[in-house]
Amino acid sequence: MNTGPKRSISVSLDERVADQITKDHINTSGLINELVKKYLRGEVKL
Amino acid sequence: MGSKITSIRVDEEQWRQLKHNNVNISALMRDLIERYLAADADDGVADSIKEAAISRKRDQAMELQEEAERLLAEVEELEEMKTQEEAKQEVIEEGGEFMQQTHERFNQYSPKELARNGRFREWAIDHEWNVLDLKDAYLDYRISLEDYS
Repeated sequence: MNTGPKRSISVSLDERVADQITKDHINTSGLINELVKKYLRGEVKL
Repeated sequence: MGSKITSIRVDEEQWRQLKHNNVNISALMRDLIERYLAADADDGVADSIKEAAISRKRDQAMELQEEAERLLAEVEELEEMKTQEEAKQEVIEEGGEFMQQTHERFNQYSPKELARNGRFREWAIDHEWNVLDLKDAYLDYRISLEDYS
């Protein structure tokens, strides 16, 4: 787990997406960091 | 459909890298989350995140179960108290006003002291009781009350 410095940013999410995240008890920051890490490695294509 | 603002704490190093690449960070995060939710995310990240969610839900379930057990124990305790109170009331009602008054006057006396006590003897005779019979009846009454206290 990366425990280095963090930066807070605000993201506007579609209400449906935000509700789904809440419903699934997803740690949004944790998820985003993992996905961004993969994106930067080229493992996730959009 | 509306939108909601969510605060996200992103690794500084990642943020710099994205800025360096001129990426619209908010848009990227929105796209990544939507893709994750839409694609039935099939990689290790998704699995680990789902595992964490499952683990959290399991913990919540355990906490709820413990809370339910605690509440049920309280319910049992309250029911027991209610039953005891009802039983005590029944004893009082069955004993009637006379036993209640006898108890108020003589509850401080031990069984041995009762029959020897002049006031108790007078109390029995005044109410047309044999002293020893009243002593036995009152002690039964007192024991029943104590059982349900």
